[in-house]
Amino acid sequence: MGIRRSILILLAFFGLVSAPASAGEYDFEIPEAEKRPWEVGGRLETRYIYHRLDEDSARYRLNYYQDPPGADSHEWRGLAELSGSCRIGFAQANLLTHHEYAATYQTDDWTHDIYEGYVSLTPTAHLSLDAGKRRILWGKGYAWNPVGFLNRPKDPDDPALNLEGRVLLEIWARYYF
Amino acid sequence: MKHKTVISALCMLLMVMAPALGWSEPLTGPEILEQVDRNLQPGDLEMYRKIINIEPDGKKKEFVLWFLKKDRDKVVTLFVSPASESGRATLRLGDNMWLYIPNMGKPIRITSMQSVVGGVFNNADIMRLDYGVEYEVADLSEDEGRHLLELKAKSGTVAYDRLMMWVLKEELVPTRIDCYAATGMLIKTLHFKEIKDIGDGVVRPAVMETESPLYKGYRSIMISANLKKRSLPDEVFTLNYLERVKDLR
Repeated sequence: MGIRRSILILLAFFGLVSAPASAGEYDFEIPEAEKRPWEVGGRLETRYIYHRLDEDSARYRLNYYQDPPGADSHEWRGLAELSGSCRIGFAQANLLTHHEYAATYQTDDWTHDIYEGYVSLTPTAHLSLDAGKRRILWGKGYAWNPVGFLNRPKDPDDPALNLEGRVLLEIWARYYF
Repeated sequence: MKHKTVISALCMLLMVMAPALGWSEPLTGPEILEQVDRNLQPGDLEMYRKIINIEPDGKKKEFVLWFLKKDRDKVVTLFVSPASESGRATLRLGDNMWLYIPNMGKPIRITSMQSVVGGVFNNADIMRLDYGVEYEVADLSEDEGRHLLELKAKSGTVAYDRLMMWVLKEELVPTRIDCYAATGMLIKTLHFKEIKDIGDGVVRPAVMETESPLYKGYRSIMISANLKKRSLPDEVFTLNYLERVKDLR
């Protein structure tokens, strides 16, 4: 009996005793379904570019006539965006910060910005009020909106990037009948 | 005279007892389809859906969506995870579908045969309306102790032209649906599994698994959970509300 139990324990240890195929085939737990009163998130990005330049070209002389970098230059950029929100009842506070580090032949410094920082009140699905710094999106364009007078310019290479907001007070009410 | 009274009383009693004894009229095709719709998505509701795309090499990608349904033809979904997709939302009103991407501006129109999550499920599968809205029963038969419904699309804008739906007789929920194109080609097969209470007392298959001859080796699984009956106003199911849907979670 003792030997048999030992063998079973060994088999289980090495994963040789498998559960029935149906058991545990599907994981029904969805932890994201539990809404937390707070959320934090972020995005990290880094990029290194090596530039090889033709010092005899006309374009080089035009672009770098004041501060020539030489035959080659290195560029390194680091970016961090941190977001957080906190909800109490129908009030929610949101914050999005943007931190960028750029090391080029001309500069070597950090920039820190608050892209969004606002309070949003949504007492019902019909009414909401936002106050603070929040992104504005006017127009239907993907990379460029001709009527986006208040929009910050988008990066056409990646129009989904976060943009710095504007300080505003917005009351949004809608009722269908 | 006395005998006549007794016979009449017995007839009346049999008529009243017949449904309880299982002598009722068999269900018609449209009645079965209506009951299937009611069992799968009973009225206005919210629930969570986990979609798992499995590639031939075993690689998996998971998405979690918050799913809202109102009436028989209005659906909103909100991407909850992964973090890179969080905040995206889709809207379906009848045959029309839109995708909202944060920072991008206004929602863009998408089609039923595309897929916002990749994999074998298309947008019509993910934002599915009641079957009775898009299909009518062309034929009802029996196969392996189950109802077999042949459904024909009411219009040419529906994702699949014809469905063959196997329905359990007791539970009145589907176990398998074969989806065909207008040419008669099998596009995909949906398998419904794991009948259980997925929330608010709604007992239905919690798992929908699909495979397609067009995507050999690929598999997609959709798990439904945390269902709650919830009625939201019509405003929520509009294009301008997609940006704010996350505030209602």
